[in-house]
Amino acid sequence: MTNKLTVSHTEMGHSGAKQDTLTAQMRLWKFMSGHTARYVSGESSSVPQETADELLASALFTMGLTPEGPELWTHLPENLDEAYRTGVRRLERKTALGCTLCAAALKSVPALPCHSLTDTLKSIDRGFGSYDFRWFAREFPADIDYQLCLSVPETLLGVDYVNEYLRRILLENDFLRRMDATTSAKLLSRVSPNWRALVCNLYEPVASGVLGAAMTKRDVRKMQTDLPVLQALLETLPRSQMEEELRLAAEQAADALNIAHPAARQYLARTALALVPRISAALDAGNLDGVFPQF
Amino acid sequence: MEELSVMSAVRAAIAKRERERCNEASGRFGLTLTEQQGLALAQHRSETLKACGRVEFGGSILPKLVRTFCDSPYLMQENYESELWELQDLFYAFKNESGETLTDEELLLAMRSAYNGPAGGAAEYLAGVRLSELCRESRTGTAPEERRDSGEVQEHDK
Repeated sequence: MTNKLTVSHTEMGHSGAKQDTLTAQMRLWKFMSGHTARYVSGESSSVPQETADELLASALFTMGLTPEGPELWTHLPENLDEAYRTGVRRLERKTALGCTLCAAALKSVPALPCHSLTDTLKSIDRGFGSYDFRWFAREFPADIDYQLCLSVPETLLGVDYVNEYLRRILLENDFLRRMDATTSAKLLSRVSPNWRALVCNLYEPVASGVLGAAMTKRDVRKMQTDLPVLQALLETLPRSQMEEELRLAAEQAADALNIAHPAARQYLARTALALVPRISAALDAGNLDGVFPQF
Repeated sequence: MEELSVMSAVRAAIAKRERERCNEASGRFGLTLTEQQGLALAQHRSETLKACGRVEFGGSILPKLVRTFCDSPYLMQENYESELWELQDLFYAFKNESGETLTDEELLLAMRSAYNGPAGGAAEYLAGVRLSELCRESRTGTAPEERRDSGEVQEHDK
């Protein structure tokens, strides 16, 4: 069998490291023996390969270890049972935090009837009831369909992914709730007439509208951009200066909307910077309406 | 790429310990495995597990297999190793077929019931039986053809 419990000579190098690696492998093998026996309640001497792989990956995730590369063996704790128990307690705390975040996210849904947002949050809420962090900590049982403006990195797994997703939802929802729902709905309908039924993100178009208004010195709450002014402003700017304009617009918009939380301000700034490639393409086409929709 | 596996380092020691446990259980029935036979069975088990896509982290199924079958009237020293070889293969095949719904003990008992009953000690007979049939045979103690004769098995079950 070739998996995390095998290692190549080239990965090991010197003989001392080789011995340490073998000792670490033995330790992990012994741990997995007990861990798997508990999983099957002692009723089976073997498990399918995919189950074994996932149990191992989950246990390493729980212990905060990266399963790839030779550093696994150098970082492997001496007492794996204790490291695993500590990891489980950490996951319990994260799960409790996730439940709180989810309850807050459900309460924070803006007055914009978007089915995928509410369905996703309800699915996550149910997921916390069946999240099996003892055996399959990397898998969170939920249908997360609603797209964020700034996606959670794929490197995050299990409850780490979900909690970060919920943090971002809370930031987005807080922003959307500061805006007039009727105005936001008009803007969203301009971008996508069927937005209520689609899985498209609500924050990004509204934030774009706010940023466009801020850059052209309009009322950010009305989200109306003076496109000719914006075109004239941006078309001569090099990328670095365009980024600076957008960063400044994000600051001004955050101030105008009384957004004080650093994470929320940073999220808006990152959203603004993420617009740069689209703005560049729109400027080339001479039509900024695709980025800053008028309604 | 050459690989160094902890499994290979540990396998021989585990195989020796398990062979001793097997012989302790089967010795009173005149059945024993030599060190070479024990190692051969362990090696074959590794290959079977790989082929079946299964992993054993702890002890192997062999001691349980021996404890379950060693009192079979059909096992003799002459065919002991080859029958264990076959039964071990069948065990993992049935285990996969069961989709993890049967415990080791439940499956071994069903296999023993069929082996000592309708199979008449022929492991190759079990190889031609589906898991559902095996479990039914375990409950009723009859072979499929006997139940067909009595009308119990329908045409689509054949």
